Amino acid sequence: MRDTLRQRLGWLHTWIGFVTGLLLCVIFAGGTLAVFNTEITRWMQPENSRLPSGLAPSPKALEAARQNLETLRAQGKQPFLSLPSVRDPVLRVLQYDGHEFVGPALDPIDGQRINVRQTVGGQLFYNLHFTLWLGRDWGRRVVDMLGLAMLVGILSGIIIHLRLLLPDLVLFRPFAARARAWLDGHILAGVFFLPFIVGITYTGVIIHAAAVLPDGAAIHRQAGPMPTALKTPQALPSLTPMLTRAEAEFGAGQIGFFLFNPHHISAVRADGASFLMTRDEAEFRYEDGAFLRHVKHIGATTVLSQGFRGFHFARWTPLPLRWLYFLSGLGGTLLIASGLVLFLMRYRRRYGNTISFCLAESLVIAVLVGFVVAALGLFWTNRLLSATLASRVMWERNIFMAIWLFSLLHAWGLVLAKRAMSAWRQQLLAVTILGMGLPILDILTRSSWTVLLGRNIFCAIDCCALVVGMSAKAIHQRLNAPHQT
Amino acid sequence: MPDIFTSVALHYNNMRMSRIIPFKAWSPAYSRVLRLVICMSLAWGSGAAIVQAVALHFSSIGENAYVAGQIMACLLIPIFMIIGFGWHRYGLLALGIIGTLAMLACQLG
Repeated sequence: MRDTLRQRLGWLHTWIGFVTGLLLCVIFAGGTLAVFNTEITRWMQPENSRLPSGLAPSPKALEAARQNLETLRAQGKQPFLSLPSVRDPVLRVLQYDGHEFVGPALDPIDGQRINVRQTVGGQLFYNLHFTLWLGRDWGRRVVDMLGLAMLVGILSGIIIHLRLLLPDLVLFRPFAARARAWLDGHILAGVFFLPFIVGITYTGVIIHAAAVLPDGAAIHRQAGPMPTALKTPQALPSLTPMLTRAEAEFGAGQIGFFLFNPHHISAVRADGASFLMTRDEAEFRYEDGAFLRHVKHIGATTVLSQGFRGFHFARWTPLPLRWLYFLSGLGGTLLIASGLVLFLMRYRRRYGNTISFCLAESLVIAVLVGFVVAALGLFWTNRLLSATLASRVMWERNIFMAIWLFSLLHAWGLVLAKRAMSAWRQQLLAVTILGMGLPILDILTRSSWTVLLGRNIFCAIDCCALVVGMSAKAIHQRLNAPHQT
Repeated sequence: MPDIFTSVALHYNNMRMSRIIPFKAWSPAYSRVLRLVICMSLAWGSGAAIVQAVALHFSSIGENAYVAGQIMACLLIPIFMIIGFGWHRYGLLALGIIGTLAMLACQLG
C-alpha cells in the first residue's frame, strides 16, 4: 500500500529533523545567548562595571582612540572603532583575529585604556551561531543550508500537525508517560513559538543567502585601485570633528562605529538606531577629515533587506523586547531539543543496541547537555583564569571546546557501556553544580560586588545560571524517578 | 508447452518478481533517501535559477535584483522540497518542470 502524505512527511520531518537538528540546536542556542552578547562580554569583563551607560565619547577619548588606531594600522592591521552605546559604555578599538573581534577598551571620558581582561565574551556564541566556527565562508554556507532544512522541517511539521494545530496549542501533559510529555512539549513549543521560529529562521537564511545562492556582489561591486598613499597607512585626521559632522547628519548618539576603508573613512549609523538596520554612512577624506558625502541605502528591496536584518539582529530592541527574543529563542531551542529526544525514544526499543544508535544518543547528550556544561564552564573559566594571562582569548576558547569534547567522549563511553541514563544524569549534575555555583563564583571574584546588587547584568546572568542549574536538578530528579512509559 | 504469449507473460512476471520485489524490500529507506537527495538538488537548482532569472529580468536595479531573487528563492526552496517529496506521484515531475522553466527564464533573458 502506498504511503500517505502524512507518513511521507513524517519520515522527512523525523530524519531531516534529527540529522540537521543536532547542529540546529547549537545554532539556536548560540543565537539565543547572542541576543545578550554584549551583556555577556560585560559580565566577563567585571573591571569595567563601574562605568555608567550612555556616555558620549569626549574629544580626549577620541584622540586616544585615534592614536591606538594609528598604532594598529602601522602594524598592518585593519582596526575599526566602536563607539560607546547604552549596552556597551566603552570605546573599543577592534580587529578581527580570524575568529573573534578583539582589542582594547577605552574609557569614554579620558580615553585611558581600561584594564579589562581579554575575553571571547558573548562574541563566541555569536560566531558559533552563524559560522559554527567553520570559517566565515564555509560556516555561512553550512548554517544557511541548515536554515533551509529547518524551514523544510517546520513546513513538514505544520502539515503533519495541521488538523490538531489549534487544540495542541493548549495541550501539555508534563506528568503523563515520558514519550507523551515530550511530544506535547515539542508540539506546544512548535505551535506557540511558530511565528518567531519561522521569522527568525527565514530572515537568518536570507541574510547569508549569498553564501548558497547566486550573488551579484562580484558583478556589481567593483573596487577601484587602492590609492598609493593608503598602501602605507598615513596619519588619521582628528575624529571629533568627523563625529560632530556625522551626528549632524544622523542625530546625536546615532553613530555606531568608524570604519577605515581603502578610499575613505566612514562614520556608520548605529545598528540600534532604528528597526531598519540601514548601515547608512557619512564618508570623510583621509587627508583632512573633510566631509565627502552622505550615503543612504534606499530602495524597496534594500529597505526590505534592512527590515529582515533589523528583525533578526534585534539591535534596536529595548530591554523587555530583548528578553522576549531570548525567551522565544529558548522556545526554538526547546523545540529542537525535544525533537531530538523524541527521536531517541522512538528508535531506542528497536535499535538501542546498535553502534549507530549509541553514536546518535551520545551526540544528542553532547548537544543538549554538553553544550550547557561547556557554556557554563566558559563563564567559570573566565573568572578562574588569571586576568593577565597571555593569549587569554585562545585559552578560553580552547577550554570551552575541550569541555564540550570531553562531554561527547564521556557520553560516548557510557552509552557504549549501556549506561546511557548515567551519562544524562552525570552531565545534568555537572550543569546543576556549575549553574548553581556561578552566582557564588561571581560574588567571590568580582570586587565590590555589593555596590552592584540590583538590576544589572551581573545579577541577571547569575539568576539565569541559577535557573539553568535548578532546571537541570529538576530533570535530574525526574530521571531518577521510577521509569514511566 | 505454453504458447509464445504465455511464455512472454511468464517471463515478464518473473522479471517483475526478481526485480520489483527486491527493490521494494529496500524501498522504504533507500528510495526515500534517494528521493530526498534528488528533491534537494532539484529544489536548490530551481532556487538558484530563479535568482539568476530575477537578476537578469530586473538588471536595472543592479545588485538588489539578486537580493530580491534570494528572498524569493529562500521561501520557495523549502516549498519545492515539500512538493517534490510529499507528492508521491508527480512531485519529482513537478519539480523538474519548475526547474526547467526557471532555467529557461534564465536563458531567455
